[in-house]
Amino acid sequence: MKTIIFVAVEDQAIDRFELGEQAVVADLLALLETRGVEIAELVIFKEDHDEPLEPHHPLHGHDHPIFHAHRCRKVETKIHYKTETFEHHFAPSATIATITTWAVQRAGLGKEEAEEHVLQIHGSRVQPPPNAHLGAFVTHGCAVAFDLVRKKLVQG
Amino acid sequence: MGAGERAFREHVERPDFVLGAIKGQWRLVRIDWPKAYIAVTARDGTEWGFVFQLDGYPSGLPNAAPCDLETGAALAAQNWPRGTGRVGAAFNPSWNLGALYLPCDRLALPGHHQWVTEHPALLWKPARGVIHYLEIIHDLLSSYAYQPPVRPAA
Repeated sequence: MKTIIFVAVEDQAIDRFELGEQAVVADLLALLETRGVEIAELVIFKEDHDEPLEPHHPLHGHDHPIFHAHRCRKVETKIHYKTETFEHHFAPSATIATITTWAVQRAGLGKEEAEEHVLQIHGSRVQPPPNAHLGAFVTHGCAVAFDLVRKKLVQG
Repeated sequence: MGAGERAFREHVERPDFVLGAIKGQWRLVRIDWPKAYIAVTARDGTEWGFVFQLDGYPSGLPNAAPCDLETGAALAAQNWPRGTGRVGAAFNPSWNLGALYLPCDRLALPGHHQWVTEHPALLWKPARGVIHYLEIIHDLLSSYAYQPPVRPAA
């Protein structure tokens, strides 16, 4: 039986990969290399996990077989909220949903108020999807900045 | 099969749609072109059915409204998702029983051109297609402003 996984490589759209039954991380890297991806510094993370996977780590048997490949092991993340700035280092596989949860807690928002906030790329009005990985938004170096803003009521 | 249906079928096979299904956020029930029936899971685990009208997809905006997942029939106003704030504003059958009050809906956007500047994140995005509309609905139904339906005691 094949191993079917989903992998986002840095800022590329997440893609579906089929590997052998006993596939490990090294097999995924080899497959990426055949597709023209420079793998020399690339590391593989499971979604929302902090540490990269070792090359011999099996890729099968995951309930949520979602991975992220990135050259950064950590992403320096700044979140601007009103007059404050919060900083934290997340894995590039952290989802926007996870970072939002961290940010609203750091901002001291109650759970109901927290639901009314969303992350925007700093200085823009782009709101990344909650299932997207942080690594997709790294622009230079291993850093990214967001604004934590209130969701607007649709009216008028 | 026309270009619109082909594009829609490609979108629901795309990893970002499939991942939403794996995470239990939504699931495709059936396609009866140009309609598609999709269930979206709310904070309380309730699956809400939506019928999407998709002619002109993906360049044209779709229209979505709550429906019975088994029969596909439109939901009566009293059976719509309820909530306060953003949720109550989006699910507003007294405005229109056939649409959600959202900038990405073809029946809601006309006459609300201020939404283009006020709500850029909620506008229709042809490249992301129905996945973007589903993310918006799922966000609303995941919110604490959503009020789960009261069910009779067993």
